[in-house]
Parts: sequence; structure tokens; C-alpha cells
Amino acid sequence: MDFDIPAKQEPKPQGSPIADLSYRNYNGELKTRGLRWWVISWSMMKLLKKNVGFWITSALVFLIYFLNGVQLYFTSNLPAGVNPFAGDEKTKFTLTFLNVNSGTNLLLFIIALTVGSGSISADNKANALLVYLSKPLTKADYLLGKWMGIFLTLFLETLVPSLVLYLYCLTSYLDKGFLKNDPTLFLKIIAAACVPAAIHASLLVGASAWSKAPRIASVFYAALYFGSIVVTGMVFGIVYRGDMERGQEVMRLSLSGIMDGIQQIIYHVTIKNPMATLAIPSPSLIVPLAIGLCVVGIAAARAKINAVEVVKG
Amino acid sequence: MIALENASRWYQQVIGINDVTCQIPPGMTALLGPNGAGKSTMLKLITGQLKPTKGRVQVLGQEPFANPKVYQKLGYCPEIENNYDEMTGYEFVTLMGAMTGIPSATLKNRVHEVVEMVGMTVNAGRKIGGYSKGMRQRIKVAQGIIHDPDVLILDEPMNGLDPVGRREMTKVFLDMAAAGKCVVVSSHILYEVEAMTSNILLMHRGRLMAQGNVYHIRSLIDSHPHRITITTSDARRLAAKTLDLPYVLGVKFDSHDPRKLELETHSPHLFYSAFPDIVLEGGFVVENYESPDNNLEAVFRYLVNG
Amino acid sequence: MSDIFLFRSALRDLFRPKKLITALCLIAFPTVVALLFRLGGGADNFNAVEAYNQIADHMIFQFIVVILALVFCTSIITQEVEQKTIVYLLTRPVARWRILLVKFAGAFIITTVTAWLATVLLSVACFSASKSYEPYVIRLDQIRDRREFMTQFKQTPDPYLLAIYKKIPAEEIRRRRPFGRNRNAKQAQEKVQNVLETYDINKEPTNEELAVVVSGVNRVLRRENLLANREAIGGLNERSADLQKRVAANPTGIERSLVQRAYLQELMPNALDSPKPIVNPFGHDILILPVAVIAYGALFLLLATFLNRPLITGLMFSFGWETWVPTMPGNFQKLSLMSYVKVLAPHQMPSQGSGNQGSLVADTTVAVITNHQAWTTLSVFTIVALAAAVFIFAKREYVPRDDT
Repeated sequence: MDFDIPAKQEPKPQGSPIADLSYRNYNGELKTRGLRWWVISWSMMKLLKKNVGFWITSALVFLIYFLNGVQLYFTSNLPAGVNPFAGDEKTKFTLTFLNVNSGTNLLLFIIALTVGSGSISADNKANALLVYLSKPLTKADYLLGKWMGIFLTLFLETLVPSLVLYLYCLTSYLDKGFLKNDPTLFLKIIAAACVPAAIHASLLVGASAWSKAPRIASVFYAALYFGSIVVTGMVFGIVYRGDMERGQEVMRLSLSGIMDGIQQIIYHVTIKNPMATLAIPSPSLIVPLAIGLCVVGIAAARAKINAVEVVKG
Repeated sequence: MIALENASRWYQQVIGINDVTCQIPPGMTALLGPNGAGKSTMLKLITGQLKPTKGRVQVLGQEPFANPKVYQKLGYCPEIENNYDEMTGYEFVTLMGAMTGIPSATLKNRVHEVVEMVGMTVNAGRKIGGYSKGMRQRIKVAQGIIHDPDVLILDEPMNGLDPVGRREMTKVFLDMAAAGKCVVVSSHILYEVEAMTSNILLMHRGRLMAQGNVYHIRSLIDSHPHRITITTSDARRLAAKTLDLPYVLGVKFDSHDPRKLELETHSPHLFYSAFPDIVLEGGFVVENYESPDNNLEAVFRYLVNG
Repeated sequence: MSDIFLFRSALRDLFRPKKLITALCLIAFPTVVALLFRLGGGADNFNAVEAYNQIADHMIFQFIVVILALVFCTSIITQEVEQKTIVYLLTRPVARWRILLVKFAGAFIITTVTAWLATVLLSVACFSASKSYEPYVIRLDQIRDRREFMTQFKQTPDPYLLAIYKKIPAEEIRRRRPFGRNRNAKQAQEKVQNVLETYDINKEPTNEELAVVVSGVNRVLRRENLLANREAIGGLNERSADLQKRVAANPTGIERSLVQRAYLQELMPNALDSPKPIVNPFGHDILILPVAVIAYGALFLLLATFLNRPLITGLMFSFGWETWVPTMPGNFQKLSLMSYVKVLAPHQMPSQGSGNQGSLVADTTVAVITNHQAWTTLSVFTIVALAAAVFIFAKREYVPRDDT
């Protein structure tokens, strides 16, 4: 839906008090871009370049992927008897990707806050929405731009290190059935990378749109994220007395639990660790819940984005 | 009352002010310069919000940075528009007054007095969040003068004020100056401060370009010959050519660099328009030409024209 | 004089409608959760002490205190810088350390009061029904000799223990149902009986077996007032005079649990340690909350003095570092503030549930930090952090950035 404004508008001074329109000194082409939202997304992501915190967090994400690669190396080269991780050879690689995804959950949340908390709230604070929406840019473009800015950052933050790990596995473990055991792993990685990115992006644009300053959006979203963990943890503790076998579905209902759960559904493996066995959760509850959260977040943002100056007091 | 001694301040690579030395006496002084000249940086150094990277800043004989003794006698009206939007004007001025140590017995009266001085009696009961720019400006001035400071620093106090407001504020500042206080007003428009004082500090790109009476500086700029330095392969031949022009007063050669010459002229405009023709006709290779006097004049013209 | 005004305005800023509503939500949050458990789970299953302990620990200490201290103490500086009003404060003839400490006092008081209110409401919600005010009788960490403990239960001739496990006649069990009335209860009882039948007294019991028995004992003692039926049980006259007197007084509530505990200890002195007194965690929590607030507050204040975005760093510390460190082995937990707070305000967590290994391990590795160490560390930490914050605040420039 690309529309062009005629490049040269002939000055038509009929009835206008200003007879001479030559003061309009820009004579070049005026063409709105096809991907208008990209301008907004790019302006968000550009800011990260100078953000030291972002790079440190990203480095930590890569470190976790790297450590998992190292672990994979050891488990594959130790004799089976002494190998503490020797479980199911068939699901070993898939499980590694699932584990590393949930292992970076908290870091991803921090990155989401870094890129997303100011997405709309900073514009609210500076009354910049007026400026944006006075450009040939619709509300949807603006919102999509902000959403994609967060989504793409988080998506790449998961996808890039995952692909590096994938390449490592491909070059090292092809003979150990890396491709054969799970031929669709590549697609699963891409799908799994979308999950936290989409949930964080949707909720953060909502939280950010309703905040007057990035700080407040951060606090609100952090309270939501950790509050949901606390509450589910408590239900787990009191109702299920810490029984992982029966209580694990409850643990899946926190924000991070939803993300982990959907990723587990995508990878389709059971997690076995010394503490408990986590079965693949049933998608009937958490998938609609995740979609609902995304819709709520985006709808909240949509309702709040208006090109009206915020007058305080 | 205020003294800067080779004071420089830079933010990483960006220079705020560069090697400024000056003394600001009691009375009214205007700090003039275009946007980004370093006026605010200088005022932040004087009010002790910033520390000089090099050199020294002294107010009433003391280093101002985080120094309560200086703040006892210093009032500051920052250029920011932000304020405690949730407070009313009265609450804000009262808090500021209390923090300067005005005893509670006299505080209330003093607040009313000051609020009346800046013409805010009607609106001071409302929340600052709903104020117009002009009202914000007035309430900022009120908090700056509540403790009757010896030094009053005002950063762009005329911004957003209507003509009536300007006149009223001008009167407040002039009264302070007349009482022997040191009042510094910054602005980027000469006309704004002309009504208050003729004593100016002129800043440009972080440097102090001139200090003194504005009319005196003006006449110096006009009467003083304008210097232009030219670097060329054939300095002497070019000098001969330029001397033919009636408005060129004289030419000097650089003793260190034979390719440099410095000429003086009364009318730089005429010279600049004739200069390309001379260069083309004579086939000179001009590497560089610049004028050390250009900036001051340009700045001045900018200030006068607004 | 100026301090009072500054303090008042700091308090008033925290009382703005939006902040107030947020605080009220936070205050109500734990109570709502407790009420949901109480009403949802049915009176039979609701254990007030357990619920209080869990909710106070997880929601008040680890969540409300941390997040409020983070928000309020960082905003002391961050908010002023953000709205650029810090100029007004810093160009007053008040020493910077005073400004900082006065505002910190405001944030400290508000955070503490909020946490207090949340705790008071929570305790009302939990303890208002006196019937359910009962803690566990046996805790895993109280068992000194596991084999002895199991053996006693398997072999003891004492009527009190027999009453709990074996020799209650079938029809009596059917009538009284000491394990409870639902299907779960029946399963639990069968589980206990099976474990006791099959247990080999020459071997150390497994964690699983131990947990099943402990959970059974607690389950029965929580429901049954066996002390009141002492005639039916008998054996009381063989106990110490002190205990006999306490039993005769028909104890209720927390005292009943204590007597039961003492009773069991006298029955198997080699297996159980003498019961530690049950401290009502509420009073203790109220005392320790300000300590937790000031320690966390000082840390966050320090972060705010030198970081442009202290909030994210604070969040990473509180919910990343602080939750990760205690799961590390050995003395690693000494690097987390919360582990010291937890030593001062201990909250007993249920460990008797499923016999799940994880919870058992977590429960038996009791803190390596002593009470004394906790006090020293927290106070030294607070003082150092506050001193550092004051020092940095006095030296650093806080000129709002003009990039917006």
C-alpha cells in the first residue's frame, strides 16, 4: 500500500492570501516508503549500538550458548558410563536447544526492558507522538514499528547464537545423528525464537504506551514478570506442596513459564533433570493464554496512542 | 564577585567552554552568545553544578561546586522548563525558601512578598503542571530571589515571557542590581538585555570573545581594521595585487612562513567580492584564507539581528 | 527546618495518587492470595502458619520489599534527574549528604510502612481463624537420627505413637479418619502404613521413606487433637511431670503443637532434637522488615548515585543474582543479601509434601550463616553502602542530559 505524493505540486494561489509559494524551497521528490514501520524500528535499534548494558547482556547470552556447546562437546566425548548427562541420545541435541533457550530467559527479559521500556513512553514524555503522527505515517505503522523494533531485537538475540550453535552441531555431530534424529530442528529453532520475542514485544508496547517515562514502564513490566513468577511459585508451594509431578502445570503460568512451555511444545521433548521430570505441557491452556497476552498488550498500546498533546496538571 | 581563571570544561570530546578568564563585578552583566556558545555551561560552572575540567572558578572567593556557603548567597534561575509539576507555586517557593534556611516564622511572609514581586499572586495557588511558559519563568525567578542573594544567576530568564512580563522582570532584576548585587543574565538576543545593561560578556564556541560596554565593543569592531590571513604559493605577488585596491590599508608578511600574508581592510565585504577575480587573473594558488576578526563580527551581527 | 520541609515534600511525592494506588495494590496482593487459598482450599487444608510463612517469605520479603525499595530509593535521584529538577536541590545551601539522607529516610519510611501494612493484613487474613493456627509438629531438620526415628515408629510400644500409626482399630479409623476425609487422605494413610511395613530397620531410611512418615505424622497431628484423647491412648503417666501438667491444661493453638512436639521428643529422645520454640513469625517479621528495607534501600541508593539507569541493574541483581546465588553449592549463598535477611527472619517452608528429593535437600541444608553474622554483615553492608552513596553524591555532577 504504497502511495505517492506528486513530486512537484504546482503552486496554486487561488484564493490564498499568500500569492507566492516559492518559499517552499524543497523541490525534490516526496515519496513515502513502502516499509514505513521500518523507519521507526530502525531508529529504536540504532540506539542500542551505544548502549553498553545491551552489549554486556548480549555477551552473557552468547556465553550461555557457548557453555552449552562446551557441555555438548564433553557429553559427546566422555565414555557413556561416567557421563552424567548421558540420557536419551536421540533427543540430546533438541534438549540442548530447549535448555539454552530457557536458560537465557532472564537475560532476554533484561534486553527487552532495555530496548522496549522507552519505546513509546519516551515519546509520551517528549510529546513526540505529535511529530510522528504528523508525518505520513499511520497509527498502525507507528505501533508496528515499535513492536517490530522490540521483536526483531529479541528474535535476533535468540536466533543468531542459536544458529551458531546449530552450525557447530552440524559440523561436529552429523555422524552422531544430528540431522537424522530431528530433521526439523532448524525450523523449530526459528519458531522458538519467535515466542519470547512476540510476548515481550506485545506486553512492552502496552506497558510503555501507558507510562509517562521509561522508568515507570520498566517497573511495571518487571513487577508483572516477577510477580507472575512469585504467585505461581506460591500456588505451587502451598497447593501442591512443592510437588513437581503434580504442580508443574501451575509453574507454566508465569510469564517466563509460558514462554518456556511453548518453546517446549515446539521442540517437543521431555525435560529430565535431577529435580524433576517436566512433561511437554498441554498446549490447550498456555497457547491461548500467550496469544491473549499479546492481544491485550497490543490493544492496550493501540488504545493509548493518540496524537494529542499531554497537558500536565 | 565572580571570577573565572582559565576555566575550561568539556564533556568527553565536546568543549563546553574553553579557557575563559574573566571577572564579573557587582551590578548587572549580560552574558551573550548564540545557541551552543557555552553560556549555560559557564553558568553551571558558576553555580557549582559542574566542576571545571581545567582552571578555577570562584564565587565570593570560594569554589562553588557543592558548596553550601556559596549557595547561601547565590540565587539561580535555570533555563529548564521542567519543574515539580505536582506542587503549587506556593509550595515550590516555600520549599525552596525553607531549604535556603529562611526561618519558619518569616518564611510565609517572605514567600508572599516574593511571589508578589514576580507578579504571581493570582496563580501561585495552582499546580505548576498547568502553568504557561511565562508563569513557569516567573515562579523560577521567585525561587531564585527568595533569600535575597548577593549573586543572582539567570539563565535565559526572558524566554517565553510576554512584553509585559519582560518589563516586570527587568524591573525586578534592575532593582537587585541597583542594590549592589551581582546579577548575570544570559541571552542570545542583544535587544532583550539592552534595556537592562550595557555591560556584556560575549561568548562564541566556548570562548569569551569580548567583555565590556556593548557600545564600546561595537565601535571597536567598526573602526578597527579587519584582518585577513591568506596562505598562497606566491605571497609577495598577491600582496602587490591587493595593495592596488583602495580599501586595503596595509599588508604584512609572516616572518616564519613565507607563504603567509596578513592584510588589513576597512571593508571586508568589498574585499571578499573582489578577491576571487584577483586570484583568477593572477593565477594564484590559494591554499587557505581566514579572518580572525570574522567571528566576532558575525556573532555580533547575529546577536543584533536576533 | 529545611530538613523537615524536604522530608515532607519527599513523603508527599510518594503519596501521589498513582504511587498510592500502586502501593495499595501491593499491600493487598499477599492478602488476596492468602484469602484465595483459604477460601479455595477449604478450611481443612488451610494451614495458617504454612501459608503465612510462604506468602510472607516469597511475596513480602522477596518481592514487595525488594521492588519497593528499588523503585523508591532509585527514584530519589533518578526522578529528580529525569525531570531535571535536581538543579533546584543542588543549588541550595544544604549539604548534599543531608539532601540524600533526608530523602532516603522518606523512601525508607514509606517502603517500611507499606511492607508492614502488607504483613499485618496478611497475618489477619491467615490467623483470624484460630482453629487453623497450627504449625507442623515435626520438621525434617529436627530429626537427629533418621534410623532411630523410623525404627521407633515401626516398633514402638508407646500408645501415643501407636495411636497415630498402627493400632487404632479399624472401625475407630473409619469413624475418626485421622488422615482426613478425601481420597488423598486414604492414599496418604496407605502410603505411611506401607512404608512402615516394608522398612528394614538395619538400613538407613531413604529420603522418600522418611518424608512419607514425617508428612503422615504432621498430617495426623494437624487434624487430630490426640492429647485430648489421652485416656484412650494412655501412657501419659510415664511422661515427665512438666509435660503432664501441660497436657492437663488442654492446650490449644500453637501451645498444643508445642506440647505435641515435646511429647514426641520425650518418646524418642535419641531420634529427635528437643523442640525449638515456635516463634510466631509475624512479630519477628515486623521487626526485621525495616532491616531488610534499609539494607536493600542503601544498595539501590548507591546504584542510583552512579548509574544512569539503576533500575535495570537493580532488577538484574534482585531477581537474577539473588535468586541464582542461593542455589549454588557451599558458601556461595553468603554473596546474597537475601540469605542474611532470611537468617534473621526465618520462614519455615513445607518440606513434608511429596517426599520429593529436591525440597528435602533444600530444607536440610540449613543456613551456613549464623544470626550474629547476619546482623554484622547487614549492618556493615548498610553503613558502607550509605557512606559510599553519600560520598559519590557529594562528588559527582548531576546535570541532566540535554539529549531529549
